[in-house]
Amino acid sequence: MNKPSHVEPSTTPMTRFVDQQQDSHSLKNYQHHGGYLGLKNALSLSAQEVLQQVKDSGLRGRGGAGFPTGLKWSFMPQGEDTPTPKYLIVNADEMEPGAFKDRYLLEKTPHQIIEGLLIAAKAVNADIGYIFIRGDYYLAIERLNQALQECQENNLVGTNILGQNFDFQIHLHTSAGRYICGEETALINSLEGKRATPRAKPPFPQVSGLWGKPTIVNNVETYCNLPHILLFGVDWYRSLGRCKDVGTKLFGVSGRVNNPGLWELPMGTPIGEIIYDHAQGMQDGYQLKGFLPGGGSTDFLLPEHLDTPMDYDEIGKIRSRMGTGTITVLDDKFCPVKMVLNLVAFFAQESCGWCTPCRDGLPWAVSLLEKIERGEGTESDIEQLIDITRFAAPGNTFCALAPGAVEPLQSALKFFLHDFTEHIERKCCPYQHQASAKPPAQAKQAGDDHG
Amino acid sequence: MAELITITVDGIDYQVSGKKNLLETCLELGLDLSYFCWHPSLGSVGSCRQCAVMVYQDSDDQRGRLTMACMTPVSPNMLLSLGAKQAKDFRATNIEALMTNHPHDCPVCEEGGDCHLQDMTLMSEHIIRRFEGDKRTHNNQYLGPLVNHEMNRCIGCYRCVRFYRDYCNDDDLNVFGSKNQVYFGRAKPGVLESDFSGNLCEVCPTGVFTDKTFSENYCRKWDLQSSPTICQHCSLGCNTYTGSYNKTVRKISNRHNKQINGHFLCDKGRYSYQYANSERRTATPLLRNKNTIQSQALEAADAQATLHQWLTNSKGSIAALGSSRSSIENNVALSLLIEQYGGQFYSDCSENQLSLAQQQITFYQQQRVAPCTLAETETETADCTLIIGEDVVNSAPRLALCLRQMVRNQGLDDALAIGIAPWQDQAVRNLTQQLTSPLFIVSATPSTLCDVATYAQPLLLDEQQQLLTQIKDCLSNKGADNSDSALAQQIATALRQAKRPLLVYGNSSGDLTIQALIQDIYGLLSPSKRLLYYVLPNANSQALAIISPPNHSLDALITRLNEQPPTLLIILESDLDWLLSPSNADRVHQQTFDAIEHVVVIDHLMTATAKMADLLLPSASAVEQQGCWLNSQGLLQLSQANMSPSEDRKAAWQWCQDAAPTQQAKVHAKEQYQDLLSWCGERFELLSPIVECQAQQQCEFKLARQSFRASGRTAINAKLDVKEYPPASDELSHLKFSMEGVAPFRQINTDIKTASGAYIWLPKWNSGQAINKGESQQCGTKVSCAIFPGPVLVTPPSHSVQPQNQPSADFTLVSQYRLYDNNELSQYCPSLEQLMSTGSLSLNQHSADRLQWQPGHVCSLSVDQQTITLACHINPDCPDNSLLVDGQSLRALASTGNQLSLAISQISMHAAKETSS
Repeated sequence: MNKPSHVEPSTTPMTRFVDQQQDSHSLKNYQHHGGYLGLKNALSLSAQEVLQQVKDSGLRGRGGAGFPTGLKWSFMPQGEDTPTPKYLIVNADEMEPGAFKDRYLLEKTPHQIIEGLLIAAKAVNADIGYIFIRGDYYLAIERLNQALQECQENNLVGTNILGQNFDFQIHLHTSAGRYICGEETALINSLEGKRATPRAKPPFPQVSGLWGKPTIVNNVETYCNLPHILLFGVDWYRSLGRCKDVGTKLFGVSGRVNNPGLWELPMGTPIGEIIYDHAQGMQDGYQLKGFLPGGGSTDFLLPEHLDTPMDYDEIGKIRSRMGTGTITVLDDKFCPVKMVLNLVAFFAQESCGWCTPCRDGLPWAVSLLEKIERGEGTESDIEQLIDITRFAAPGNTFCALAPGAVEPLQSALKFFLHDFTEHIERKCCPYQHQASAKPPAQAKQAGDDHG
Repeated sequence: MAELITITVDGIDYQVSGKKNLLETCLELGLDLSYFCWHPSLGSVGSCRQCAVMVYQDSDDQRGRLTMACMTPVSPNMLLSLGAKQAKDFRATNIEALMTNHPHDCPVCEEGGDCHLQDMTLMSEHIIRRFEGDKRTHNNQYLGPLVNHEMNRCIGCYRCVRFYRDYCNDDDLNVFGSKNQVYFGRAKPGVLESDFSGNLCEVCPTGVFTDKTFSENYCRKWDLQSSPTICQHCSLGCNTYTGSYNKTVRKISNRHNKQINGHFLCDKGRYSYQYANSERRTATPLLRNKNTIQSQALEAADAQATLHQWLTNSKGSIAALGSSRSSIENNVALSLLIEQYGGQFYSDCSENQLSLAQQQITFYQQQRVAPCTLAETETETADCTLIIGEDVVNSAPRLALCLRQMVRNQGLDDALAIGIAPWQDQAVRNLTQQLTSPLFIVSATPSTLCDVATYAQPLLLDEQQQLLTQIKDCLSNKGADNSDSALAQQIATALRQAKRPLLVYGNSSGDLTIQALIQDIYGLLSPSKRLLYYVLPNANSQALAIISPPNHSLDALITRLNEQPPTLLIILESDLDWLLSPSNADRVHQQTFDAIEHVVVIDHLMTATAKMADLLLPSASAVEQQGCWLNSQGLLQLSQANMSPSEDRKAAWQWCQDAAPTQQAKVHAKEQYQDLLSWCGERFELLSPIVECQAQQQCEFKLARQSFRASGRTAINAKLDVKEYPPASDELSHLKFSMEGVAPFRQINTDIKTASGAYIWLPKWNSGQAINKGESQQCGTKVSCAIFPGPVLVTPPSHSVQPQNQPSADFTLVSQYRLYDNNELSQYCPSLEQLMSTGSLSLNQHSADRLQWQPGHVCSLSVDQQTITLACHINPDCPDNSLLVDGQSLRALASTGNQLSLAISQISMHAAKETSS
């Protein structure tokens, strides 16, 4: 396949064509940087070959769980007797506290998502695609609509795409706004017009998903990896990682650091490098007390873990999760009880109300944390909190929301227990008696800092 | 016999079928495992997380995995533990979590003592409440006269909406909000629209939805005197428990019978019990002086003597009217009595209905076919249904609910093909979405089943005949090329391709041609697959059609009374004012009765006819006597007395038996009763299983009707009398009117498991959910006797019927059956008054244009000098050139009252209009 000479493999494939020009999201700009060449390659291959490339690339889902993408796709039944239509869904319902990576891709590179979606459609013989986007992402919605319009005009969606006898429809659906819609089966229910309640698995969506038909749901960032794998090849993609995991990933840092933001970095970049090199370390007068490595539903880690590479398995070994890869920093001037309370209250608020541990367990935890934060806590409250974290453990609940919600809580109880007991002993929040802290600097978006 | 697999629970091996989920399997093994969201008819969704158990991979696995039993299939050699500490702790914490918002109002909660949540809380050993925060509170809603709403008690199990929306397909109850604020109710307060709303009270595991009529007349479950009874409000014969306290009926609850009602009852059946407590009950015999029109109370013995004397005096000139709302014993006793005195027995059905019913019975007998069974057995296994001319939604509601499950079979099959078991309710529904098995409704009235129907366009009688003829031709490969009959082709093909085709029709089609055509179509279907169900109007209509001689209909009786008045007329539990049109009834009461020397009425209600009786004998209501009922599928079922009749009331059969010459010597009710059953068996061959039906409910030991916790038994009458009276005796039954006796579940320790217990109760399981435990299912296993021999592979010969080309009428009056309006006993129930519909007349736009009627016009319809006036509505679902009128209003126009009016009367109408002001 021909490609313009200026389109060269990059170490930041997903963000390489983003610049500060107003129209960096346009089809023209995207195509100038090699956009839709990956799709052309894919359309010249058989579905099986595209799927094999994605499998061989070692790409893992970027939504948080890190499930191998090619393997997930291979569960979709194929062949003449299998149900149709087959659906592909882009999960763009980013609502995890501390996560803002999908928003960046949605606003800056809408065509990259559409191209990824088309490549995936080719690989799994899908007929219809839905982009399920958080309703608050106004700019992203506007740009996606514009991009879809451009695709429509340039025969990049619809029937006989690029004259390659390939049909695929894409619909944009704006979510009414619930965190649970990020759970793929709740998303599907919501898309069907039902309550956004997760579905029991098995059957998995690949077998019985949207409208009961085979369906694959992937995260925005996962789709964004695909054009580059198809354009520059599997070997190039595998060479991008710095450890077992391959490719690049958007990593972000928020909290009281000098340069909060978002960067595309190789998988396996050590956490310390992200916080200290890219985010330029803690603001003056603040010490790093701990951090959530991948959003509000991941376990706290400590400064001693800074050498750990951002890699699904490595972070798993130290009992947290890489999640979305957007790090939230806790400093020594901010009350960990208050931070955990804020997080658990968010998840309690966002519970769909389907299963007991989540619906009734999380508000119970919130009431205990509020009590401790008010200085009215007792030793028994901590025991109850520990009970609740065990109660809402993975496998005990209907979906992953409640287990995620208690992850920061259980690790805070492990690492910052003395803060909890101090609240109880001093009958107040010790942090409120220190000099009022400086508010964290506004998080800047990536691209502002690198070319 | 399917192969069994072995599973090990807490070290003990069990043999199980492996087809059910792990929770249901454990419960059937008699193990105590707590649960909320699972329901045997609603399947599993895994929302409450209460049924957690530990599952181990193999005997080396010491850690195990916490698993929700309801969501887990049973696999061979499965190792699990209910008692493992981790599982027990989880179940206790789960209860603790869902109790954080549950009020401590058990002492004032109607559910107390009958509460699944109480049982499960105790079972989980959650004792101390640690949560100190505020409880969330909700506003309650007014949901109509039948169901109470108390949302603060909700534990969020989602059963109510799953039953209401998923199972019944009604949509006015929903879940709103999210997190711990989920709210189960209506968008706005208002009367629940479902005909099955009362089941919410049983489906709800705690006191959110409770029986409003019970609350208004409340007593604790343990104080109820209970008995197994048969519902008398339609021909399906659903099994119920009647609960009473201090001689008033308080509550009807479901008695599981997988061949009929399964786990659910309709609201008509659940709430029409109030007639038994009515102020309009008869209490003492009354003798009415024809001249002075004064009534005087009589001693029972004097009344008996009067009846005997009148019978003797009138020998040879006696007519008797039986009752389809009375037990077989009562009808048979009356029939026997007048046979001995040379009288004639008549049915309370119109000529038309009687001949239809009798023709159908002949069809069953000659062709060796039997109607199919309902809920969890045959009807729900069908995969294609054709309903003809019967508005089952109103005339047989529980059947309509079965048909709603029937349409799911295509989806269940598809799900099973990809490994989704039927109990995985949510997964099956997500996979199948709107896919349904074919259901065709051919009827003159619009049906609310149309939301799940493949075809449901209303058709008038002659169009129905034409369609059925075409279907018949298609099935017999005649006229296959007829281009006019695409619909007939479609229906015929669906019926032919189905694995279990089902034909549903009934007495209200009112047309012998249609009935013959349906029977022919049935004959053309594969004998090993086909199913049929024939709906009758009343609880004992089928039995009465067997007992009544041919042509001895109500019409024939009225003619006889006018032309050749008998000396003595005995009317059993019938209200002529209900059976005839009001003007006809008035004529009979005021004029015809005058020409008859003695009119005797035996009834438990002071009906218009009872008021005109020369001798009124107060009878026991169906809850005060033991009696057999023959449902429309030909099952004989025994309904046990719930209480002894008070004052001078006696079962009608006993009044008759006491007056019979051959019975004078017999003093023991039991002998009288058994003689009666033997005579019935000899006289009516089809009813001969009645002896066995009664015998199988006998038991060597007595069972108690009251729970052994019944309190205050001796205090009930203390305000009147401090003496302690012994409980009433019941010679006929194995049940006692007291708390002495063996508790029903103790039967499992004996060989006698057939006799029905008086109530459902198991240790630790105080609520009705005890039915889901294995022990309960073993009791009362044999509860009915089928009278029709069942399918033998004989193809019935085809009738040579042709549609009669009746001259098409200007306008056809079509009767609309209504759930409560068309049930006589419901008229005596105060709680149902509000739910009765007002008169209505509807027609489609085309008809309205022809008549130049506008919506809101007040229209008068006149037939034979009888006029009704109704406001007119437009309903696009009405057939062309037809007027849809509610059955009650139409009674005024039809000659034989409500039953005839169910049929479509092809009458040319004189229509006049007035504009409403």
